[in-house]
Amino acid sequence: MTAITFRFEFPLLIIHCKEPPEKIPLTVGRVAAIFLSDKENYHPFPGTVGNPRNPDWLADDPYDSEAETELTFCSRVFRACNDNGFKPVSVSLYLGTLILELKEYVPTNKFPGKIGGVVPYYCNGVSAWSSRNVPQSRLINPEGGNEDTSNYTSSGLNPGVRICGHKYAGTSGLIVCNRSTGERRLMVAEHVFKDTDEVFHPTTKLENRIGTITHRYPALDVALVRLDESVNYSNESYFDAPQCKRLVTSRYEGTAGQEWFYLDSGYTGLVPFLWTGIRMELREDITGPFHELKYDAQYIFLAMHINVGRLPNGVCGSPLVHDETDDPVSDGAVRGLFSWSDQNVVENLFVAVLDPLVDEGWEVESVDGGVGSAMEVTEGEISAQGEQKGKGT
Amino acid sequence: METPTKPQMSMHSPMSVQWTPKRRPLKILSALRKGAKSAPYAYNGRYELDDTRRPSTPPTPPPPPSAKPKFLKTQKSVNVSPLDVKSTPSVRRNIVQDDPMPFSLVEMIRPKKVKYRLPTKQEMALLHTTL
Repeated sequence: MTAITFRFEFPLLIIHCKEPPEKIPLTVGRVAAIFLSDKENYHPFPGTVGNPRNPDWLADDPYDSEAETELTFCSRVFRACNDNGFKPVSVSLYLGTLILELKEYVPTNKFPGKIGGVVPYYCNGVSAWSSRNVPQSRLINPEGGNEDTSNYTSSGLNPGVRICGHKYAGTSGLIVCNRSTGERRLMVAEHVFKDTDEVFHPTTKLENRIGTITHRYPALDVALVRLDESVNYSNESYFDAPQCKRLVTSRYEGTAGQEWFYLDSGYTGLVPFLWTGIRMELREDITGPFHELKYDAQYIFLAMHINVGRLPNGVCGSPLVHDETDDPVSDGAVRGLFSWSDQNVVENLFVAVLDPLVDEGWEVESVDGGVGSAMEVTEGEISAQGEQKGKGT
Repeated sequence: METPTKPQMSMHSPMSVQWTPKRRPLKILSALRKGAKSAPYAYNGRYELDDTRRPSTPPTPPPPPSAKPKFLKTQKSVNVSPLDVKSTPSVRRNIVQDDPMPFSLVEMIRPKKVKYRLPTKQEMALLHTTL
């Protein structure tokens, strides 16, 4: 018996132990469990509450989870905050709690105790998340040899293999097809290839070249690679992780704190993540046409590394895929590629919402050569996509 | 184009189709399998080696098995060797079957809505005894 205290902060159970149990489970009583030493301090929700006597900015139009998406609500909070003269940096719905990150310090008693009927936590002048949008790139010559540098070319490539550019290395993503243009591309983390358009597997040698980057989406940290004709790559296997079947957008209705996602990279093996919510963040570069404020929408995941080990940098680009389930919409659903982490004690991971990519017509190529969301396209379209497989369009 | 909304949550229900994945060389340990041994607070980092759990890796890893997928419809309808059972993905097993508690603190799950409850006295005692 080593547990000292149990804190029930649903949807989390925080357990302080003198000695860790021999085997640490991900859940205890079906609730995600965080195991900590007796000296470790951890509060899941950053910030402090406001003043309940101040009026709710959205009292006339409270949050209704049945009628609007979480991202829509966060956008409304963002605008309300701006309209009331405060400078928000990000608005998140994290484990069911509203978190406002503000650029400058303002005494919290000036803020409402509720916004849209939800109790917010304010991080005024301090960062809610340890570091904002810091993509982690692994240099090609990492120390330590605990990584999978196998060359899988002969048996066919799949998500989760080591890929690299000239300077950095990461993990390969999944194959997507464009239902409008018929193009077939490999999704990778954009920041891993910021110095080059050439993509190699497993190491940077001329004969290991597998493709060239043709599309870049820096705001999503996604790049698309046109594979060379000789390269055999499919979504058939993702090592120990569930198979990737479809990309989902912000319209996906899930339950934060209850849904598990996985990645399997050559740097980590299989790693679990708990989906914890969404974040709407002001993009750091707001210069652009019409000088409008620009926002980035992201999913937040809780890395269970406090239980299973800290994540190395080369994991970037690994698809985050939903746990196996009979629910056809959730099963194999990919929320995005691993890209940003806040490097906190209990690490939060931020993954761009892929709406812009999906809106352009990109969908997961299914293992039989069609697209993943077969329910959304006609049979004729699936057939047309299937013919593109392997042609390196 | 619209992503369909979820009609109903059915987490962790039995799967009718399972997938035999491609395998990595043994040195790439699944973080899940490493479990407590790699918990940073307990063992000071993820690179703590535990040679007793897995054999060391040869310098040149063996080629991976054929990329052809192997479908297992169900364990009842297909003859599955013990090796195959061992190599099927176990993500759900890690979440649900490894849960040390026989009870659930989740009372109800609906899309976007979950109801939790506190443990009873007996369940609390079980938590203390087990963990």
